[in-house]
Amino acid sequence: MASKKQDAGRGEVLLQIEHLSVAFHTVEGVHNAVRDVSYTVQKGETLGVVGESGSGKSVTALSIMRLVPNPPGETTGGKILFDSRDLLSLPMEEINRIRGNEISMIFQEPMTSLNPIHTCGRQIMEPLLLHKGCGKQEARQRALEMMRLVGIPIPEQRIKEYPHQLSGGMRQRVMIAMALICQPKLLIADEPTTALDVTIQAQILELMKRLKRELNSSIIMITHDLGVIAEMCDRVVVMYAGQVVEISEIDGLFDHPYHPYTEGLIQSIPTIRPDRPKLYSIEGTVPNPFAMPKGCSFAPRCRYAKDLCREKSPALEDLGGGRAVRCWCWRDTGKRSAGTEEGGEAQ
Amino acid sequence: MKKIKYSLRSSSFVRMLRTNPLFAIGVAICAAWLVVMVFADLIAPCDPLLQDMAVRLQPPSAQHWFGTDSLGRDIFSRVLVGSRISIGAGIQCILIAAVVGMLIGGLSGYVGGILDDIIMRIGELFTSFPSIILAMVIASAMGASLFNTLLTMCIVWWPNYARVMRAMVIQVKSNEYVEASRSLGASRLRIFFKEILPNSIGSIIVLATVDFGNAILLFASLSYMGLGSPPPAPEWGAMVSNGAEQFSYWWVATFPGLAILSVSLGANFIGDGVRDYLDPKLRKTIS
Amino acid sequence: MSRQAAEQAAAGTQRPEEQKWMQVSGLKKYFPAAGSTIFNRRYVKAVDDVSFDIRQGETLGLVGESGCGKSTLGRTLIRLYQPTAGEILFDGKDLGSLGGREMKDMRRRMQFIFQDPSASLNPRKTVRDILMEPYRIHNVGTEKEREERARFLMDRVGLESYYFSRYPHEMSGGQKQRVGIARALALRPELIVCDEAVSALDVSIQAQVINLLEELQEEFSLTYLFISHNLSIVHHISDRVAVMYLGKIVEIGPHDAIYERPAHPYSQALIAAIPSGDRREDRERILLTGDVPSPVNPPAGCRFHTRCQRCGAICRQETPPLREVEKDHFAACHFVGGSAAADPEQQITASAEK
Repeated sequence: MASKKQDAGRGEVLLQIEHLSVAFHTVEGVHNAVRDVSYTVQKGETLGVVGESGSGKSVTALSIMRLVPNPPGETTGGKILFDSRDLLSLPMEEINRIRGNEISMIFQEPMTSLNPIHTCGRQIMEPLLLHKGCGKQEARQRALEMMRLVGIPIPEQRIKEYPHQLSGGMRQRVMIAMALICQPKLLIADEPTTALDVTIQAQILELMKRLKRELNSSIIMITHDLGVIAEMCDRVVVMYAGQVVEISEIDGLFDHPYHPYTEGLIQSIPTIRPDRPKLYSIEGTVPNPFAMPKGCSFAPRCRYAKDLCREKSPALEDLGGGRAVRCWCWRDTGKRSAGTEEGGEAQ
Repeated sequence: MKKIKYSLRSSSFVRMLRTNPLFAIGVAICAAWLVVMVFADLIAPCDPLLQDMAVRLQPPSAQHWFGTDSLGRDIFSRVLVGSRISIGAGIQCILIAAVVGMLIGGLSGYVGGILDDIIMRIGELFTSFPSIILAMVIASAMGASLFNTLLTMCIVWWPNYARVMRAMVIQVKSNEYVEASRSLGASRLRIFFKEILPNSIGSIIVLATVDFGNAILLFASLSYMGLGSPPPAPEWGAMVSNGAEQFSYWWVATFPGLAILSVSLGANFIGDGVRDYLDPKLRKTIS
Repeated sequence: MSRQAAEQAAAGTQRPEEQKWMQVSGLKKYFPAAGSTIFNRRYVKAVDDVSFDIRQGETLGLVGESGCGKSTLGRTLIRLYQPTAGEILFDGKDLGSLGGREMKDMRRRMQFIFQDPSASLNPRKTVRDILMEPYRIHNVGTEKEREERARFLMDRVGLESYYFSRYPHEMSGGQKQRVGIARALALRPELIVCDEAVSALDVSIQAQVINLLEELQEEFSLTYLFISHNLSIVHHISDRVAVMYLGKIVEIGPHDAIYERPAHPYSQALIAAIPSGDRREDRERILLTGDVPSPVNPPAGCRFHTRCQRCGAICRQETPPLREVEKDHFAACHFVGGSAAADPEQQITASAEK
């Protein structure tokens, strides 16, 4: 089960999320967006976080950056240890020193995350001026270097331009340059390629792989696209309805998913295969956050669900070898999946 | 089915009352005035037109709660009965201006092109003058009567509604559900009334409730200058104007003034509440 | 063309799905560009001289990057946009020249499914009203019959009757998209244009909706034009695939031909760009450099030449026509099919000259 890659520094924990819970207070009641989430990010690895909208994957990432809006959001428990400091209890000045410097973030929508009234150059230089105390000249020099590194052609020209003058792919590069300029230890990428076209997505993914090699940062890659995960990540965390349901090395996950949800996800994406089998689909929809099922949150949609699943919520069970799963009947998953390709009557 | 709809609506109304105290106050004020308007004759202790020179310009007392004016009329009764004229005028003026403005603005935004340009320039012509001066000019040209004053106010006011409606329609018509209706074969008229209008009417309602206070004030100011309803009628603006001539008798102008203030305040509160309710960002936390 | 096809079909010499059912030729759709004035007219050439056909009962996939005009093409095809030039022959009639009454009847035969289910449903109407609207527009049946039909539609697309009197914002994305599909089905159309119909949905819901579309195709014998930027989904659902770049169709053919033997360099790059999920195999990737040029001012000659690795001198001057590569498989590239196909040596020298 050991990873085939021997990256330098792998195995050393950079970020550790312990029992994180985040709730949102809304008119309809309390929405527990993140429920007892724990995972770690090792030095130099790319960790994928998969889940559907509302699974809590983005909220967890925002918590790391202390960007969960409060109110209505509130962290109700847990710790986030980064270099042995708890990010959740640090004073705000300390957080500001870490943000954009040691941990930085790339957002999904490059148009709305860049400030339209500042030039790209200024926005790329900003973290340097703020955190590293660079002079204007030096910051400019390093910004140009970084722009070249992320593949922006004619950076001398682009550095003077405003976000609206750039294409989507270029804007995303500016975002990445901005995020990487201080050489952060951890880069959080929230759906970095979802808004981009296929060919541009391929460019950006290639770029992120290269940058990771060159700068040796860790990356948390949040996405709903399993193709991207498979291509980029070393380990994967699968989230459903605010909980971690499975953690796995990438190789094991696609061949032997243990959680029925993971299995369903993998089977429901169309692949470029000549035979084109009918897609498996997970029936039903994500549970209403204000009316969570009593037992396992996935039980109402699960084809393996037993009485136990509907009664009692399973715990995240450590299976060794870097794998963990939150399911009562994970032993059945692999066995039955082969025979029930056509299935889907569970409801 | 109807029942579900009703309970949803009413529960969000109750929720608004609970979460938004200003809205609740506004509703209370307006509801109270509504009751007064309907039952003014029964509540009023005296005949609002009855003159009694023996008791002229008396301060508030147990018998005349708000005192009496220069002709010895009971101010309390006049304020109560006057609510029919003043609030009635406000509602009529807003209603007509809103409907006219909505149709013209809707047409302008939906059809676009040259028609849009022409309508908007005409609207600007009206809004480029201060509304009170324009209203005075028109009202004095047509002669002072309740009907003319209302007409004047509508002429002054429709461009506001037309402008808001036009902006809303232009925004709404770019929505995909409008295109969907077109792809089903719906006619332009049907699309306008079934798809676009219901989705743009919200901001008109908000503007109307906020404007309601303004309408009463404009009507009052016109009456103050003698252009509103003719003398004996208990109109609030006219009463304030009458009282302003007698500074030493403070109560004559104060009470009708307070009435105007309370109604426009109530309407404003309701307008703010409705706007908050219609704001999709605020609603998102609900849905 | 279609008359011919009809005759052939009548003679029974050809299977019905091979009829040229809908024939598009020389279709153009230009929009006035931002900043365009009376003195300086400039146009966004969203669809520029496109010709292809759709066969009855098939699913034609249309892929391309954002801004390539695929969505405009879909909308022009069912005349949500009035075409600037060209012909859309459907059942022997040119859609572009139909009058209001005729077009209204024609609309019953072709429908549209939109990308964003939240935007394509009127937020102030209940599902009931949304689904009864098509019948009201076309004066079909009594109110009671309309309601029955609406309920039938709900059932067909897998929505519980519980949602009948709900508003769109009370439903999830997948459920809303089902309402959109039900509405499109209401008038029993023959052709449905699906514009990124599953792109806005979550992965597990995507599969549900794709399966639903496939079931409905069989049940109601529908023809789909399936527009998407997601190549895996198009591969899954399509019989034939057309690839669009900057307002032009650069390649069209049976889906296995396009995915296994893409002829146009752009199609090759697109297909190579799909995240494969297989990390162990270090595939050779054709990474396109640069961005899509502006459709206001597209490059002369072959529109792809600015990003093409095979670009030769001829590419900068002449627009390549669609040429047959193999049976039923066409590509618009100077180096593919036909006599102009140059050998690699010549290409290299040609591009080195520049």
